[in-house]
Amino acid sequence: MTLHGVAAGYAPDAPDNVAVAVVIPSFKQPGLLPEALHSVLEQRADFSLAVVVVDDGCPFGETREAALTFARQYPRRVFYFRKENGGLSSARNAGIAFALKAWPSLSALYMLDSDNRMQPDFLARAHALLAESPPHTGWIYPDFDMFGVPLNHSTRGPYSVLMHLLENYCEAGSLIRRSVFDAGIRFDETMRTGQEDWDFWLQAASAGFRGRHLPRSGFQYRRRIESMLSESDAQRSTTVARMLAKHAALAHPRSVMALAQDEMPDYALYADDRFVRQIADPTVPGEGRALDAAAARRAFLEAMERPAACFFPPVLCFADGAALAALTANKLVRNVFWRAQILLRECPVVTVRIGLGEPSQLGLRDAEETSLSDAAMIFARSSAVAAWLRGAARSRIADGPLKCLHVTLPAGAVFDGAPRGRSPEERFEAEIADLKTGSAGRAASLPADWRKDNRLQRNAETALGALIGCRALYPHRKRAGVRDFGVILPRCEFGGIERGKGNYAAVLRARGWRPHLFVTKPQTAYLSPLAFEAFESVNFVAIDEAERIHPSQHYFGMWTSDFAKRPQSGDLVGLLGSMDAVINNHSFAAHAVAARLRRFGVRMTVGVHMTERSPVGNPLGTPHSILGYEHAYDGIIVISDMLHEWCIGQGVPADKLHLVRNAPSYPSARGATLRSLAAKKRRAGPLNVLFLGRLDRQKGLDRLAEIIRRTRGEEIVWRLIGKAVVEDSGVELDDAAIAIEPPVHTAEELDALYEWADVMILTSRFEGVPLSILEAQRAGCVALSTDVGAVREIIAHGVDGLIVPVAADEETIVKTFCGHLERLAADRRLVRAIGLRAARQGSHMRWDRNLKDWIAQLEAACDAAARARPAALVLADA
Amino acid sequence: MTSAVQPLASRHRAFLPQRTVAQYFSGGPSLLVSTGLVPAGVAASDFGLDTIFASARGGDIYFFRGADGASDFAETAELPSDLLAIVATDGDAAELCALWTDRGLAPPPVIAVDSALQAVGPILARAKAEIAVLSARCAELQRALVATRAEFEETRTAMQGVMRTLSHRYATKMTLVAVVAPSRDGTVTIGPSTALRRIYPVGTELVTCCALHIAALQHAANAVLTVAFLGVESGRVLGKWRRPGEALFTGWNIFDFPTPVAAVRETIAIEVSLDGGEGCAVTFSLAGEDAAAEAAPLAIRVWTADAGGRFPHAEHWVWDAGGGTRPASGTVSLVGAAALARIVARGRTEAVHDGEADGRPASYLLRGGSSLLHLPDLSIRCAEGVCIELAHKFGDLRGTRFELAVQSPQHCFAGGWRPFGAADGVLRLGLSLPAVLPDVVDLFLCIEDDDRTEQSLAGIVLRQIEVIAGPRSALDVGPRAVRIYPEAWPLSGADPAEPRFKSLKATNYSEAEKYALFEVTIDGLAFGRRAGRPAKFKISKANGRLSIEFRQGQNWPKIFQEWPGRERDRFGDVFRVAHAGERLAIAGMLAPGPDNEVLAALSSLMPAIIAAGMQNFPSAREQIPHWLDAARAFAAAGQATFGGPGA
Repeated sequence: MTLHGVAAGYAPDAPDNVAVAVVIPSFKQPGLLPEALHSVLEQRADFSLAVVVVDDGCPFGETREAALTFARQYPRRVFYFRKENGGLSSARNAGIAFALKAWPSLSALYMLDSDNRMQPDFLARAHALLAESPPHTGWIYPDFDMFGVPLNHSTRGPYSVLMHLLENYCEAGSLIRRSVFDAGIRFDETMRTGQEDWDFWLQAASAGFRGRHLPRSGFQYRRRIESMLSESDAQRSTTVARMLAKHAALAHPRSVMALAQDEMPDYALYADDRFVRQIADPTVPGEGRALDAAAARRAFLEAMERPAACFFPPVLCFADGAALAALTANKLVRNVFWRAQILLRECPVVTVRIGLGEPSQLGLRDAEETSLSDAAMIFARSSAVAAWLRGAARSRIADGPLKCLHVTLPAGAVFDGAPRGRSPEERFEAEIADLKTGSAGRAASLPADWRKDNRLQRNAETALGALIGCRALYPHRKRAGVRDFGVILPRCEFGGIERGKGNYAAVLRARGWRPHLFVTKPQTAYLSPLAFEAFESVNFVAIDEAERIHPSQHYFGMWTSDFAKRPQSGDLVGLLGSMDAVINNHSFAAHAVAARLRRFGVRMTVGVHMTERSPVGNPLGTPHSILGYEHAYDGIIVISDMLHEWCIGQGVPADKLHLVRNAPSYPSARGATLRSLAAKKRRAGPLNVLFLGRLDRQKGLDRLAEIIRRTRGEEIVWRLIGKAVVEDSGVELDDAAIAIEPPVHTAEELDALYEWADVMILTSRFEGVPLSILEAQRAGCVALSTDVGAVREIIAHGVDGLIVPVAADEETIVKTFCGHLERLAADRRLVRAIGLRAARQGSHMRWDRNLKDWIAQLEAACDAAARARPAALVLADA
Repeated sequence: MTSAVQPLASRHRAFLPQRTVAQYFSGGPSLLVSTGLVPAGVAASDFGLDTIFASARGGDIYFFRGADGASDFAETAELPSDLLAIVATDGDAAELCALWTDRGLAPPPVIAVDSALQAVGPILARAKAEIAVLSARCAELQRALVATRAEFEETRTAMQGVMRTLSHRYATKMTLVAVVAPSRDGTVTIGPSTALRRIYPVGTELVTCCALHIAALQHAANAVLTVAFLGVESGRVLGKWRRPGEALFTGWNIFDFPTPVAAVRETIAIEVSLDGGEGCAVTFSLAGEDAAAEAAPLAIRVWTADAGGRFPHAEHWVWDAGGGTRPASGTVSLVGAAALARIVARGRTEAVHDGEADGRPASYLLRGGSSLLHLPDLSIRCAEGVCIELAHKFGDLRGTRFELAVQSPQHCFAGGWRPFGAADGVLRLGLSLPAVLPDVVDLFLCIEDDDRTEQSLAGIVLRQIEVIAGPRSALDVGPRAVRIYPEAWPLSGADPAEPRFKSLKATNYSEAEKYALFEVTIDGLAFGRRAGRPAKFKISKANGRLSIEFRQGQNWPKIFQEWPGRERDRFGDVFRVAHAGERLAIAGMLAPGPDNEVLAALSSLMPAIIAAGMQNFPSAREQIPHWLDAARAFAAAGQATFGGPGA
């Protein structure tokens, strides 16, 4: 064949400036197709419309005839082509491709099923709304007005990606902005049993587009008893699971948490008389959406009446600025909000009262409450307020059992309790009264819509539970480029593990991380100044019996946890899920949720510090329990060669182990070591022997008492510094007749102690790598210790310290200690020589050096995980 | 992103001109002609049909129309769809058909020829075949349309029958589904040719009536308020009323649907507009909440009822507006409470209210004598009959008779006097409506109860007034001999100090070219604290004005304490009072006090006297309106002269 330039009998016109193309896929519904076509042709619009009928290989010739009748009768308005059967998605995609190619002027496309129809003003209304919406509005969706089996469902309210993950409330019959298709989004042709429209919307949401509701649209959906959707309901759960797996970007826990914080923040903060802020994180300045008081009230009442369409935070917080500032300065504010949210499950109102405690002490404990007066903050549950507004029996919402969160700030913290402006109680009562008035007014007015709304209620906690298995979300906003590190401790006082992890936090903070402390068991903590400065936040988990041991399940005779099965584990997941990395130090509750946290993208590490033996000698302790959860952790930190080998012997992969040696727990003052050595060099007279540590059974206090009894005198002077931390109260030392001095925590006080001491003695029955030995060595003291744990790795006997074997009987052990002390008391040169070698050894011990390799691996792993994780959701026009 | 169309496993690719690609899929049918068949110089129009050319280039097929001049071809997954035939040589045809089969589609019919001229016949044959197919399809659709229409007509007829049956049952309960209360201060005013529209989040289905709250009316008596009830989603008018201003009032004005809105589930919109002269205005109350906000909703009440559960007589309903179906013959609609509340009781029958919110009387107390229940301005458009249902409440009704009548300016029809005879204590009075009647009439229930004394009162309940749809009878059945002049009966429950009379006898009517007159004797004339006086006088009318003439002497009762007359004629002393200008001309010296009062009372009663008196002169029936006009003017002059009746 040849190409001829033949004069045209048909004069092609310039392309139409078609603004909206309606794509009608048609298959086996030829009788209803004319209704659909007619409803499009009857549209009253001031822009040009075209209809594309895609015959998806329909075996009924009537489809072709019906479509061609219209195409012939309405040229340039109705277009028809046939393709091989490929299913609804492929027919839509073919129509989309055709329309985009045919009309460069298109601004939007509309998918109309051939058995549906629209009222004459529908497309004009939808187009007008799309035109006035920001570019990231990708589609305009209608209510479900169904005919056939009549039903009218509302889909009003702001669009929510989070809720869209749980159920599809956007009809395929939505007007879609062209830019959605230009972004490459199409219907999935492999989905042939329904829900392909839901998948399409989630694709669009992943690309940053959002939907917008069109009220009173005029779209009509034919509802038949048996339909494709009815068939797919049976397979729905499989399809939904597949859908969420397909949309990893949206369904990833990090994305879901961010969506929850953006769309449904947990807290409404009433700290200002002018406006109310809906916030997810009370520490972020200007966080969240601000509404003036009247608008906030309206929003509350609307959410009360239409919880599926409207959202208001589930927790109301009435706070004074001074209280918020004090809690923020003392690292407790996030924990207060989180704890209040949990307590509000049991009662309608929670108060917060702030008091001062001991130096370095922080605390947050819950108690019963009887009054709102003088509370520093008041939290109220929105649903309780709503129930009261609807006519609950109580005369005041605050009548009835209440709870209180008692906050303890360190002595010297700045907080005088006097509110600036209206007190929280005044704000609370005034707001409740205004809501009551507003509610009464609304009772006399019409509801927002006559249509039913059977969608799920807008509740972040429910959504989080359904999607990612967590409950109360930690009120913490991730900051771009900043990593968050969680340190989990079952308690936090001045033990070695706490002091060590405080140093981890300080090193990480210096590298730009934000460390957070999570204390699982008690509701009080003592932080050294170093730790207080290092941690971004301090949090008391305080979940009832979170650390409870499983009553019957053991791993090789070692304790395990049953916490994973309890619903409260979702709260712990919510608390820790926003961390980039976590180190768990002996918390069973954290073991129980470790695997879930890994799925959140949290890099899980567990710390192993020492092995113990029970009173009857069987091995016990956290390393043994960890073995049962090893698979749930990305890494295990050990503090000694001994533990490193032990773990390998227990079958832990060597590549998972990280040896991070201890170092002195505090930075000594500049020149302190030299001053200490000089003081020791100058010293004559009795030998100064120091015991510094917890007064408990582990420390071998019975031995110590005997040693003191046998050696105290003119030649050996003792000082005992310590406090009972565990149950044992140090009663063994009562006979020693030496006053026990209270613990010291500041660098200056510790340096002074070590400067005074010639010898630092430890008579422990078991240890890991005692920090006190390292600190004493750094100061040039002679460390005299039982040979337990990994003491041998930090003391070379006779070189930089002295070790007492424990294989012998108690009398031999005591005698050996006494012998060493007497020898040192008689030979000052020996004391100085050992001390000098110890000081040299100690000068190399630094946390940043010891942590360097592990942190490098951790950061590399976090970076790799971040790259592998789907990109953060941004709006299409951001 | 999910995968789009799978790449074609085709030996041939298809190309269309990018700029005009859409035109290949609309406006057919077309011929597809291979360029190998078309000699140079042959125009596409020579084939008589829209023609698409197909040209092969290196295994690919290019579609174009001659005038495309296209150079911007783009590959296409779709092939032109509305092709009558492929016209090509055998070889070319095979290549073209492969385009379709490669895509899993059946190719169009092929006309394989060696030259274009050879194709003409087959093209015509193909066209003929296509026409035959379309004709057959058209015929099939016509048959289907006929069947559908038949089914629709049967359904419509059945529905009308059902509605007629349902209309005879008692109405089901109305449910108040939406209330937007009026605010104290928030209002909006519409004037001539202005309109308001408001949308309410309330569904349209089963709405049976709505009410709007009017706060004020300005010069609205001659205006017409149009209220339209629409479905927002479709924009359809589901109901419309045109209510004259004189029927509007401050407060909740109710607008009834003839039947509840059925099968339309949309959102309500209300549009109000006013037509009238300059200065007329209607002020609506706005909602209590946000009354100051722009587009604040009008205060509104909306009721629903069961489908087919309520058939009110929808006053001022515009049948043609919403495409509503007029009810079938025999369908009953009930006059609403608002209309029943407008019934005026005249004579000694008295309306008794028990505090019902809709304002209609709970019952009527019969005190004897002749009385009237008057419902003005009842719409009887498309109605063939009316029926009133009364129920016996208490007392003895054996001597009481009732008659139902309708009256227009030209005609009066009545159903005849009936007593309460039924054992069930219910009396239904029906009346066929002749075609001569206009669309709006006055309805009267006449009551004759002369035997009753003050000691034996009775009570009746007016249960309902039914308007029955249907074509009117051409026969003037039941014309009433005597028109009803409501003024003849004093308003029931009127102030006892108001002038009234017990009975009247009129005699000696005479009429000449320029005047007419008759004699009146009144019994039981009472006014103020004075009662029981008889009065006799002549009334004459000349040039549209009345004058009355008193005489004293035998056969003339003493009316005045001091005879005021100063004239005398051959019949004796005469005292005349005439309507002159704005006031009455009194030819005499009327003493102040009782004499002044009696004349004031008689002048104020003149319309009632004329109305009652002229009933006695059937031959002068046509003159009654003129007499009444003159009587009203006389009464107005009397008021100007004496300063109020019975003073």
